[in-house]
Amino acid sequence: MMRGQVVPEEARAWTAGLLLATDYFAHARREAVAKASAAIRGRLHRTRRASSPDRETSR
Amino acid sequence: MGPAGTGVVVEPVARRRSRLRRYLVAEAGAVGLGYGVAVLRDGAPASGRGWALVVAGAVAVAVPLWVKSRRELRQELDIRSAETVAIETDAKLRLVVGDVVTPIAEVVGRVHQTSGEDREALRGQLQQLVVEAAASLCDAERARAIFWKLERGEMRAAAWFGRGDAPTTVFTDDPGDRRGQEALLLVRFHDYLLVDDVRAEGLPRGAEPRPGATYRSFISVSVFCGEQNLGMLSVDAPEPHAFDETDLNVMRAMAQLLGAGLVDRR
Repeated sequence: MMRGQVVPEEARAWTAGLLLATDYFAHARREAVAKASAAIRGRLHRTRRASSPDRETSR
Repeated sequence: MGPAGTGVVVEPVARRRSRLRRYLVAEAGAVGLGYGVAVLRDGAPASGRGWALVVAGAVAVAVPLWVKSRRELRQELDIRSAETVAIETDAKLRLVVGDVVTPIAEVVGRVHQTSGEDREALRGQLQQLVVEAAASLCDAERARAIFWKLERGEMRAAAWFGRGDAPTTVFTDDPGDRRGQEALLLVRFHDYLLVDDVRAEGLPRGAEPRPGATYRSFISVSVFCGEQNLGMLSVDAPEPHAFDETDLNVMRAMAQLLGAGLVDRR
């Protein structure tokens, strides 16, 4: 389950002019890379598990 | 106006120490040990011919092992590269959709909920947000994004972000201002233009830079809503070939968001 704000606090601070664009994008980029890295590695892991020969033979 | 971010190219993915290399070293050690045991089981060779046979056997064992290890290391490198590209693409999608389009769309909505001075202030804020986003999202070192506002048939910089030099150009419809005429036509026809290198031959009419310009490549996109022409959003960079089609699509989305926020009710 996931729940959160559609427009997070950092984004609100940026659009309101309370946070510099350089700071906002540096933080957003770091977060995006971390989440993308976890998501892609998770997807690759699941794909490997689904296509591994052991799984085929254990059925 | 601050400096632009260094594009949206994601930071290098942390290099994980390869287990494969250790496995290959262990495999080579085991094969070498096995070969040594097999050779020495009956004692060391007594003649030069015997040693020659041992060396030939060692080479015959080592060559396929070396070829196999090279192939596996290359495969691992390819997989890592593909993984890095996938992470970069996913990160960019998250950044564009989640961190830029969503909050800017919220501001566009608020523009139309307000009126008078508040609305104008929000519109100024929106212009600034869009150029900040465009400069930060486009994959270019030291990119600069500008919104050229169309007023009374001329376009002047209304908001900019990125490399230090402030834009001074005014695009007009004067007969001697070919660049201005072409820029105004681009806005009127709701077009976009991506130029990889302004010093290359065969540039479209009016795409040549003004003397002393600090950019080599640029993207310009018409900002409009319906039939209302509002100006031009551009991003430029000092390097040639700094932008690709993904950047162009980011710019198109930014321009349309800006148009949606700047349009007047008819």
